[in-house]
Amino acid sequence: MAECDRCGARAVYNRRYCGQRLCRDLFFAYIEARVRRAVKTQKIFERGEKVGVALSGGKDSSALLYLLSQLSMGLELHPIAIDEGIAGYRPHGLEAARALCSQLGLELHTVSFRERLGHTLDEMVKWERGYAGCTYCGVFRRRLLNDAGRELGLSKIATGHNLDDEAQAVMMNYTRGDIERLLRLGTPGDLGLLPRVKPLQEVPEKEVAIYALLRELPVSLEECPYARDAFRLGIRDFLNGLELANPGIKYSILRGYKRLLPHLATYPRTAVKRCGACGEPTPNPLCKACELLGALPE
Amino acid sequence: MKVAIETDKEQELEVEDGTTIEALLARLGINRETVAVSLNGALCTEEEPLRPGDRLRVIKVVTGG
Repeated sequence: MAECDRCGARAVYNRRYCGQRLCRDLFFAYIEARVRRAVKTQKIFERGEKVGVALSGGKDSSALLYLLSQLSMGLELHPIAIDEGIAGYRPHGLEAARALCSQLGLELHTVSFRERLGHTLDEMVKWERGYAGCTYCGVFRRRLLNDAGRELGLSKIATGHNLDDEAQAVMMNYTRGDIERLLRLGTPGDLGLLPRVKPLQEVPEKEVAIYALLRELPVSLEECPYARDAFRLGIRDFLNGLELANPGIKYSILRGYKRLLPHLATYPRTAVKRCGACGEPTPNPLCKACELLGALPE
Repeated sequence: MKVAIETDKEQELEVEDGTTIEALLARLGINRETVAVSLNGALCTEEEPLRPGDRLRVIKVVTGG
C-alpha cells in the first residue's frame, strides 16, 4: 500500500511533480490551502464581495464553488449556469449544479440560449453557416455570463479554469503566433467585460477531479458532444504526454508565461471600439456575438 | 492472475503477479495524467500493486473542449 508521506495513512494521490504522496485528509488540506493562497497572494477577491461563479455542473466549476463557499471571506456567491441547449448532455450538468447549490444553500441562476438568443446550441450547429459548436458556445456563453453578471450587480465572475486549461491556452496562442491573444489571457477584463478570475489556475485538472470525487460533490463527468476542437485536443494530448515524462511541465509553462507577461506590456494592441449593433466592447465594427447572431435565421 | 477493469467498457484481464496499476495503464495505452483510478471502490495512487480478484475503475478526468 502506498503511504502518505506525511502521516503514513493510505495515500490517495501522488503529486509526481514534487514527489509527495498524500492521504485523503492531507490532500483536502493541500488543495484548500493552495486555493486560499492563490486568493490571498493574487488578491482575487475583496472581503464580502459579490461574486458570480460560472457553474456547469462539471468537476472544475463544482469544485470551485465548493472551495469558494469554504473561504472565510464573507463572499456573496451567485452561481450562474448557462443552458446552451445540448440534448442528452446539459440536463445532467444542470441537475448536478442544482444539487450542489441546494447542498450549499445557494440560489442557482440559470440563463438559457433559447430564452436569450431564441435558439439552442443544437439548433445553431445545424445552420449552413458551418461554425463549430465551440465557436457559438464560447462566444454566447461569455456574453450571457457577462449579461447575467451585470444584471445581478456582480463585481466579477470566477471560472473553474485549471492549470491544464491555462497551459493549453498559453501553448495554443504561442504556437499560433497570436501574441495579442496571449497577452489578453493574462489580463482578463481588459476588453471592458466583467473581470474574470480563475482561483484554480494553479491546480492541475487531475487534482481538481480527485478533489471533487473524494468530496463526493454532485458532478457530471460527461464530455460535451461538441468538444471537437482538434487543435486544442492536440495540444492537450501533447502536454499530457510531456507531463507524463516530465512531471511539472504544465507548471513550468504557466510560470514561464507569467514571467513573460510584464515584458509583453509594450506589445501593440488593437484598439477597443464599441460594437455597432449592441455597444459591447470589441476590436471589430461588430462584436462576435452580433456577427454570429446576424448569421442566424430569424 | 485475473483482475477486473472498468474503463469505457468492463473487462477481465490476465496480468502478472505484482503488476502495478501504472504498468497496467501503460499496457492499455492510457496516460495516467488523464485518469483517476479507484481500486475496489477507493481512489488510490497508480503505484498500488494489483492482487487477484481486484476491481479497478479508470475514471477519465481530462475532458475536451
